[in-house]
This record gives sequence, structure tokens and C-alpha cells, in this order.
Amino acid sequence: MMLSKIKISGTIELESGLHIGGSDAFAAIGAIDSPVIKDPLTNLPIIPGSSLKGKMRSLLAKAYNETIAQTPNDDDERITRLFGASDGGGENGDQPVPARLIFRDSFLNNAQELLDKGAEGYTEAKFENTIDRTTAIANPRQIERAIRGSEFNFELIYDLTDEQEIDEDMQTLLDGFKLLELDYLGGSGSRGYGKIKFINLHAETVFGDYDASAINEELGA
Amino acid sequence: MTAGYHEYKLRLIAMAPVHIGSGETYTAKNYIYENENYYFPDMGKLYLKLRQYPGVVEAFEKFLVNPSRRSNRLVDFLHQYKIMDRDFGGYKIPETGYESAKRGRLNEIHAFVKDGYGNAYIPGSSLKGALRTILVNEHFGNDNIAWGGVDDIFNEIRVSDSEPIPVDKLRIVQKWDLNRKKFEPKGLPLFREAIRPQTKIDFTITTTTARAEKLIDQLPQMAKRFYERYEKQFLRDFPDKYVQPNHFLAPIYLGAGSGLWTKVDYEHVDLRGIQRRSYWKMKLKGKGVMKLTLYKRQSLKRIENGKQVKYMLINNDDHYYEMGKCGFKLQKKN
Repeated sequence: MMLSKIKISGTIELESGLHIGGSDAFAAIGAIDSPVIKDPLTNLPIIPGSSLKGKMRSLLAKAYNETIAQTPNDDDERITRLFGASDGGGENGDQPVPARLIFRDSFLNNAQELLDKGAEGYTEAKFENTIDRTTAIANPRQIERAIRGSEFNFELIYDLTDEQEIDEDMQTLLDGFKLLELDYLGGSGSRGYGKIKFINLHAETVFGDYDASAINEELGA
Repeated sequence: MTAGYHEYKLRLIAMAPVHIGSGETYTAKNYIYENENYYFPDMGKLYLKLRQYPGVVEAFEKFLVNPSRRSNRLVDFLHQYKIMDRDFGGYKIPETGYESAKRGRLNEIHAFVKDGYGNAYIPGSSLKGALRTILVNEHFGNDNIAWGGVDDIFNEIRVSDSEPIPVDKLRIVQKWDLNRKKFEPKGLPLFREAIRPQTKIDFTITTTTARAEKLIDQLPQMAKRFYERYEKQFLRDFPDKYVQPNHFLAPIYLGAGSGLWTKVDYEHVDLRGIQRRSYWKMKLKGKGVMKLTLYKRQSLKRIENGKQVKYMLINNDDHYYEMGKCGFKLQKKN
């Protein structure tokens, strides 16, 4: 059969402040010591595709792998064929496994709306403290976060190479979305950061002639 | 597939004023005290507005750098130049009458932490720190807990930020210290934006492993045990009337001004070290003073057997609360 490319797109909404760290090489003394990654052109916060891909993969690995994988190459086959592996492919198992998924970087798409809602900027500085439990001495830090209510456009390309496996692949992907919503994206999630929600997910065939309506039904589009 | 994840709703009820700082402070130059309100304008907007008045900008800049303590109130400056506009953005906090004897003359107001939209909230990091103190004392025995890699119990416990709290729920309260010798509360020139008592604040706690789930299941009991320890170590040295009852809630202390004994590991606290290190004016003597604040008397209301029952938050007629005292209820969602 012919290769089809299916684009799954939607929006990532931040339900709490998100911190995906950027470079702090030029932080001023007393200013934010832990900035977020931003688009160098617009200076708006972004969600790199690598963060989405890595987090989704590790969550799926926890859910699917029967034994703890030493390296990502040892992940369950349902994961490696979507996310790729550097060996285990080809006839002799010594070739890379190509990834069927392509994650795109996500950009902020409701910047103006945020300002209209009364936001003072696209990121906030959060003051935190470490309190030593033997001396009660506080050690403060400042962390930047993309603000709650930000929306990022989300886009994913799925290469359809084996029609037999598409149902299982879509199930893996749906589990991945669900796990990401239950978990967090970026840093410091255990103290409230990075709660996200996928909204308006839908699939469309952008190359080839596969009928994406079944996928849309599963995505609830 | 998502087995192993458990969600809890933690409802926190402020039983006394609670302050979580943003790291910023306001002086009398930053607020307008008028019509029983403290108005904290957006200073940038205010400045832009002042530019419309000829000659005022220069006077305003002089006012800002003037070190004199007498003529340092923003409201006096505005009156002096007959500036009637008050649409400078920002927000207002109604006065309670318990802030200070000197109405409208507060300096050093510590701001509450706010999100990007200007709403107050309690960060998950604050609640988690307070929960960790309980767990350190009642379960782990020390704060030397493995983290990073696969063995990371505090990554398996996730505490969300609270829902936004509208700024009109904030009030300004003063710091009062209760000395051990005379038991006479003494007001200090330090003021804080605080969540008013009775406010309910919801959090979500997610656990990702069975051992984390087991710990959170026991949280209310551990909070009660930790409170008993606190009572024995500290509270019982002070008159009962200043100690607030827990009623039907699991006790917890949150944020600034709740005192050393709500933050430390009792088994390993280095009291001598703290006494040595703190600078003379703030010198910790013995186990420290009790930290109070003033606010009008309030009660919690609850329906029991179809009847409304009132639980008074404080046992004294002088309106003293324990700073940062809260109670919580925990409900497992799945």
C-alpha cells in the first residue's frame, strides 16, 4: 500500500504554570535564575516537540513495558515503532527503527487573548523557598513560568506504513495523551507545575488516501 | 493503564489569616488609603496618568526619592496636587479595623503571591512543603529522603496549585509576638496581605505509586499526630486562650509567620545553631515567641443532623489568631 501521512492537531491548554527550562547564562543578579525556553524571534514561551515526545514516551514506557527498560531501545515494540529506536530494526535487528511519529514544536497562539484577560505578561516569576528543617534557614529562588490559561497549537504527524497496526498505534497515542493530562509537562510537576489539557484534537489525512474518520471518532472530534 | 494514579481533593480551610509571600513589599508610597480601603494601584499606570498633569511628574519623582518618613504617603501626594483620578489599575483591599492602631499608616506591607492575572493563589509548592514537614516528623524520621532516579517518593506525590483566590478575599494583618515571660502580645511594624479566616481553598493531590498512595491516605492522622507534638513542644507553654481549637479538621500551618516549630524536623533541629546564627535583634530566645495576629472573631459553620452548628475559631475576646493556622479535609476521588 501507499504511504499516508495523518496530521493530528489540536491545542494544549495550561491549567497551571509551565516551566520548561531555557538557558540562564545571562540572568542578572537577583533576577529570575531559572527562565523558560522561548522563541528567539517573538520572545514568547514555546513547548519544544522534544519535551512532549520525551515525556509521552517515558509515561508510556511505565505503562506498557513489562520489565524496566535499560535503554529506550528496550521499550515495548508498540512504543519503539511509534517513537523510534537506534537498533532492533531491519531484518537482522541491527538497523534503526524509524519513528512513525513526528512531533512539532508548539507555539503560543492566544497571546492577545491573555492580555485581554488581564495578564501582565506571558510569563510570571514565582518566588520559592527551600527551608532547612534543622536550621529553618530559607534559601529563596525565582523561577519563571508560562502562565496558566496559555494555549499552544499542537501538531503531530503519523506516518501510516502498516495499516494492520494503525488501531493499536492510535490506542498507544490516545493513552499517551491521557497519561500526559494525568501527569505533567516540563519541570517541577510534583509541586503543581505543568498541568496540561489537550483540547479539540482531530485527525486529517494530509498525504495519501487513508480515511481518518475512525481516528476522529476515537479522538472525540 | 492509568492504574497506580490516584487523585485526592484536599480542601483547605483558613482558620486564621494565612500569608504566602511573593517576595515583594509595599511602602506607604505604593498604596492609597481612602474610604476604608487600601488601594494598591499599578504604579506604571499611575505614572502614565500623572504625565497628563503639568509639572506633576517632577514633583512625583521627588516624592518617590524623598527619604522623609513624614510626607511619604501616596494619598497625601495625590491630594496635594488635587489628582482625583483613581483608575490606575491594581486592586483594593477593604480594611478590617484590626490592621493597626494607626489607620492607613502602614509601612512594609508584604504582598501575597499572585498569578499572571493578578489573582492570589496558594502554590502547590507551599502546601507540599508543609505536608513534607508532617511526613518528615511522623513517617520518615529525617529529611534525608532519596530523590532523583527511580527512588523518589516526593516525585510520586504531586500537589497542584490552588484555584485562584480573588484579591478581595485578602485582608491586611499585623504581626504580633507573644512573649513567654509576660504573655503580653506586642505589635510589630510588619504587615502582611493574608487570606481571611473561613476561606476555603481546593487543591488536587495526585499519587503515582502504591507507597505514595498509602502515605497520603494516612495524612489526616499524621497531621493530628504532628499537631500533638507541636502542642507538647511549644503551644502548651502559652495561655490556652491563644491556642485555637482544630474542631473537625486536620490541623496544618501554612506560610509566613507561623513560627519555627511548624517548619522543622523535631528530632534533628539545631536550636543552639539557630540561636547563635540569628542576628541580635531577632535573636531566638529559648523555644521562641508565639506568633499571633489580630482579626475580628469568626466562626466556621457546619450542618450537623440538619442543624447549623457554629464553631468559634478563637477562644479569646481580644481577637488574637495563630498566624497561618489552617485545617483540611481529604477526599479520595478514585
